[in-house]
Amino acid sequence: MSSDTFLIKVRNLDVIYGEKIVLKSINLNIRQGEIVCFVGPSGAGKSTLLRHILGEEHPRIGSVYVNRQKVKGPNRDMGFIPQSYSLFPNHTALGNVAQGLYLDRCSFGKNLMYDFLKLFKIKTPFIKAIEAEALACLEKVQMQEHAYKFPHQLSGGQQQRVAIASALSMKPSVLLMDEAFSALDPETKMSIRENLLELKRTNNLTIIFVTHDLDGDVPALSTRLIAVTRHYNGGDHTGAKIAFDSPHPLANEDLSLSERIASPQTVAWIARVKHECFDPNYKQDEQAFTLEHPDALPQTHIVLEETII
Amino acid sequence: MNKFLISILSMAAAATLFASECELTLTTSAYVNWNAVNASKKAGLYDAIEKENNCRLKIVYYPDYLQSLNYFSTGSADAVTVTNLDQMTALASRPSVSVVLQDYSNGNDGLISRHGKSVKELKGQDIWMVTKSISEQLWVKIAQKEGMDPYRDVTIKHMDLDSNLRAAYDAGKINNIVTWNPALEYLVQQTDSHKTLASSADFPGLIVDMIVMGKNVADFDKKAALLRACWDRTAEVVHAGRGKDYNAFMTAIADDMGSSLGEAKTMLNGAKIFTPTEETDFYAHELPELQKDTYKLAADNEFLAESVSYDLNGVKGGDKATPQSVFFEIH
Amino acid sequence: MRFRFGNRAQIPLWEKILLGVIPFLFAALLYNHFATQRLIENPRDKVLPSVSKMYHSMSEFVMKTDRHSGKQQFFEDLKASVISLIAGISVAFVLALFIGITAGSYPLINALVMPIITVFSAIPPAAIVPVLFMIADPGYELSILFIFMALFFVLVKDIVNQIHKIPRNLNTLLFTKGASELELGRENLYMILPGILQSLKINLPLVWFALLYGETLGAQNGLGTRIFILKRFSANDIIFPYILVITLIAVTVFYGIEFIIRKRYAWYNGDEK
Repeated sequence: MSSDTFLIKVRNLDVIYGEKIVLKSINLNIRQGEIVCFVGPSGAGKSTLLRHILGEEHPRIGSVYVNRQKVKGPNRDMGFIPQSYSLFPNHTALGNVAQGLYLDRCSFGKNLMYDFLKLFKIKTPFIKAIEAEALACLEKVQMQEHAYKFPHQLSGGQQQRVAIASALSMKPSVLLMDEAFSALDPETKMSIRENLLELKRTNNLTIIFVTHDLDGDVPALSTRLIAVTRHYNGGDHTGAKIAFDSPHPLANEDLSLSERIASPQTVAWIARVKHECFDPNYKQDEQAFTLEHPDALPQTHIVLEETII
Repeated sequence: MNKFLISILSMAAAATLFASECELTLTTSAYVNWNAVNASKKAGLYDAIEKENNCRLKIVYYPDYLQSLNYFSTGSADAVTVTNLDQMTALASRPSVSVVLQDYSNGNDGLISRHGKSVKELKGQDIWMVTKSISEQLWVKIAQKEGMDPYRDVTIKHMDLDSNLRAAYDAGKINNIVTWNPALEYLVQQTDSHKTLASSADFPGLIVDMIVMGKNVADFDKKAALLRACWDRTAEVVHAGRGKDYNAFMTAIADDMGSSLGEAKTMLNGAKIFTPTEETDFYAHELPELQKDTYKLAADNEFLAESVSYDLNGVKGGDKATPQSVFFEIH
Repeated sequence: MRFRFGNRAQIPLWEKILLGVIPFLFAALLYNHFATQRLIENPRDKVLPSVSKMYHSMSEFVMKTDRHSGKQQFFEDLKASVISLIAGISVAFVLALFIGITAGSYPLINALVMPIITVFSAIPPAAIVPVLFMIADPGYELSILFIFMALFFVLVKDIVNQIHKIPRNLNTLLFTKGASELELGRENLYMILPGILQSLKINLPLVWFALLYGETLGAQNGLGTRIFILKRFSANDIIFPYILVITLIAVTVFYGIEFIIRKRYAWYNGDEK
């Protein structure tokens, strides 16, 4: 299998803030269509890793490639849904979705012109087309009836749905979510997961998400789990590493969400993950499955070869 | 501002030393003969007089003339240094009595022009001044003398502070101004091409500087006597023109105005300080007519916010200016 | 239960009006007391004129025409001040938006302009009048310049501050939506516009001060010019009504801006679901 099939590649990524080493020698391959979740203790560096893939932060050591391009900054190929401030307060739900469409399709000057037209509520065919498209995106997340509400008039769950619609309207190749649903209630979470899974099936979307929800998000959504944990060398924190990289035991099965969560295999996997991830004294027992993902790379400095990149 | 603070502080210090019950508050502003009062006080010329009269003179100094007038009008001061015109107009709200005629302006007020060579040349131009003041009074007189209409032949423009007038002239934004010293002296010395086209020296006895007291001041006579004695002392020193007191006085006044000794001398010469005989003669023979004339000019040109009545009941021809004499009274 | 205290308290309208009127009543009574006292001591007193005196003087003044120009002085003054206000505020607001948005959105421009703006904003305009005379002509120009200086620097600093407070997530989101660097400034503008209007509203007292001071520098007409000319005569019977006119303009502008924020930017104060 050629390494070119990997959509996202992280190579020898070190993240150092001042004196503090956050991430050390991170190496990672992710294929298109995977749903990867980053788990690990708070402050270990999951979000930092995600934001480096997103390009919000630039690595001084190591590199991140998406679609064989070195990531220079957040761009239109990536959808991003943060936990908070996922919507623009000055736009309606529809406006939030349409915003991306305008930005993607119009020049700066044209956008100024459309701002001017919108000020006087003049609708050209182009504006109508964009609004129809945005409304269609909202329909996919069942938010069409709240299209003309502002974010402050929406509940947390509704806001995140709009954020999903807004991100997906751009048809990104990767969707990155940073604890996007942590603050929501279980029922809302469930229905949003259904939404995402449906979208993933239809678009073959790659999703990377950071979560704390080992009992919900991980077993329900993911196809692959990556644990980022702190690494100590004689009491000194030497930067977090990928502790293990594990495939979901039912990754390739076509099951409903509740079936995936309830399955004994998933339960056993999660139990193992919890120990591995959060209990350093845990010794590996005779569990039936491996935590080693076939695409996993060694978490030490690897020599870069042109072919890999 | 610094001078103001220092004077306040020195007042406070003196207050603790003196502790006399009688205290006269005189408010003054930046003008050479009013700085003279301030300077005399600082040079210690009044120390003996204050003791003799058993009354202390407290000076509240404002760099801006109008501030001192307003301070007097609100009733915060007993006396103020003012011109004869402004007593009728600016001080109209508080009945006041002029107790000392200090001097008349003899070149300390004037019209200065950047390009003009004569007053007639200014026809059709803007002339800037603090309107409704002695500057406008002087301009009306100048124009009348030249056979011009003071309001139709030129455009009179108002600027609120004389310091701003000077700044705008310096910046080259305005070309003709009517103002008074120290600004006048300062601007003439800037360059030779700036000419004083006309000045109060052309109208001796038109602009009279004086010290007026509020009519309602307690111990009026005693305080008037103090002012009388103080000013007489200053006039005496200035007229002497030499001696220890004179030198101390000149140093203090130059310091007070922020000018050199030479400039201070020039400006002192710009006002004709009355000798006691001249003062008596002036109020007896010239003041009644002058005040009638001034009142008419002010009334004709809407200087008066509203009409005030006045009389010259204090003027009794030939009297020596006694401390208690009342020259002119606003009702 | 209804909360009577705390910042979410609901107070009925009539109570609001009543509470609002009490301080005015108190001020009026206090004024009347001192005015009467002064007038008893000195019937000619002009420092605190009686209300009826103010009414008569002002109505007479409003009707009076200038003897040289033949125009009604009061309306000339009002016109001049309103023109200066509109010009000064708009120029300051538009320029501050432009400089503030670019400086707030683009670190390079920030590094270029913010140090000098920070230093200049510390200079009181009144202290450098001689220099200002070299820049602008006495009259309208200086009044407008004064308003501009009073407002511009404050607004720029506030705009930059508000942009820096925009959550980072929203910036990232913009780029994931395909925004260019140029679009970043444009979107930032829309996000902070009501905040800047709010800031303008709060900083309006600077404008009134600047208008009055600027007009003393050679404006021939204007509410401030008239007040300072009349100050020579302590003619408070006309000065106080003039101040009342300025107050009315101030209150109108204040509530006007508030109205615009409420109507046009409902999301800014977004509380109601």
